[in-house]
Amino acid sequence: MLRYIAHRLLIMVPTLIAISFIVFVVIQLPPGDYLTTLIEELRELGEPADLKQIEALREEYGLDRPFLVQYVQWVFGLVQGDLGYSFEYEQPVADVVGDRLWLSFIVSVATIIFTWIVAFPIGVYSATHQYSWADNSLTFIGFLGLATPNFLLALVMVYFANVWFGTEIGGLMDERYIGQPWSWGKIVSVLEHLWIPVIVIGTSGTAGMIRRLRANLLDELQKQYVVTGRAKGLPPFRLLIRYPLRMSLNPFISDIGDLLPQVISGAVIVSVVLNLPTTGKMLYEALLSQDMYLAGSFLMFLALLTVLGVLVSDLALALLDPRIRLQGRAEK
Amino acid sequence: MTVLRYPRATLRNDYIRAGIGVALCVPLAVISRGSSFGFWLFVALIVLFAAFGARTWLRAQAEYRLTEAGLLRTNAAFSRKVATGVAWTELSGLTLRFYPLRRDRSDGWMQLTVRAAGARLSIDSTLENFDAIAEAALAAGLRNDLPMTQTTLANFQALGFSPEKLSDSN
Repeated sequence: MLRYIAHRLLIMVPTLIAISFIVFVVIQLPPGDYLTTLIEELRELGEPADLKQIEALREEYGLDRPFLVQYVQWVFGLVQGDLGYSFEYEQPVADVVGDRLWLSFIVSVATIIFTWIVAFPIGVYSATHQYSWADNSLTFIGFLGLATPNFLLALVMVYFANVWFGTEIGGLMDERYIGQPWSWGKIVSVLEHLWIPVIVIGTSGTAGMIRRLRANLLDELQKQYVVTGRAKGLPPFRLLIRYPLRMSLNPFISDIGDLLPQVISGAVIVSVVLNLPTTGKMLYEALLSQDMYLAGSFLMFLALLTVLGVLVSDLALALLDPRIRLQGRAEK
Repeated sequence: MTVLRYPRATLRNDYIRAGIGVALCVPLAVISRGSSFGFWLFVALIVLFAAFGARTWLRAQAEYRLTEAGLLRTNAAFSRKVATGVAWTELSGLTLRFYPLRRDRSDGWMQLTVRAAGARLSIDSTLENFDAIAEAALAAGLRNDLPMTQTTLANFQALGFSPEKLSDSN
């Protein structure tokens, strides 16, 4: 296992370095920089831009330095935990992000737990009761869930909550707790508001997971070892839990790598629609305004989640299912 | 009796991996001294890569002897040669795992673990003549009526050893 972990980590470190370079190239790709955008905005508003002050700011933030120097400084800062400076908010990125990163993490983890809790029993039931009326109904609902974009579901829920209950369902906490330090009341308020974004963001993922678990389990249930187990008189539930279900869990585990960043980046529009104080909306605005260090920090955070997720899922798969593919080739 | 070692090319590649890992993480740990979490994370990675390098060195010193009676590992790394042996007649545990390098499991290596009377030997498929050891271990496992997991049996089949054929020949 040590050799496997070393192999995987050795792939991870250069991957993150390469991603950091690509992220920096991408956030530098649009012509100009944040200060150029600021000058344009001031001109559009008819306000004069103090070019001397702008040049002084450019020098202060290091925007006049060569690309590679800026990149190295940024990476050094990231490694030291300094995420850089947000031009838009005129504050260090760490202060700007503040609670948002935690709230995004809470929403994401809650969404993943919701997805697994709902998808797991439904997927198993659908596979073990193939073509029953319940399976067909669940399949139909699943297809509906897959076909409905998250933001549309958010809009529909906002509309009906307003029309039917006369209430606003946006936000992730009561207004009186916004910007306040964490307290028991704030936690309760977040929990009260959490279920709506969790359902909105998690619906399509849940539907997709049900489909894949059903298909995988159906494949496993038709294999010879299951027939042998049945012929030997193993109780059906015990047989299901011990063998085919265990093998069907692979998509759940291999999905860990993609799930976290998908949930966070996929929830950008939902966070705009539901007015969630998560990272999605801020990332969108940072990209629009070329707030490069803020956008870069978010993108690196997503990349780190992806790479860590893939590492965790690879290690878990190696532990839970150490089978070779029959056409596979073991290293000699 | 056959004397087996890990091939030099495999050991060299593992030394290179350990070296690159340490070489990448040391400067990162030095840079990140301002951030305690980052610093300890990179220190942990350095320890892990160093442990991997040390284990590769131990492997380079190890010799495996495959006989009809069992499998014996001697290690010349220590002042007194350390020997660990598993007698086939006493074999009490046998697992064959596959570690995939690709998501489609088309590439990777296997790890055979045999246990007997408190001794445990774990060898990778990169060891010379691994197939002969795997075949002997499977034959011994079948002779001793050892319970084997579906995964272990499937991996033996992928190596070309059918438990049915081996048990017939026993």
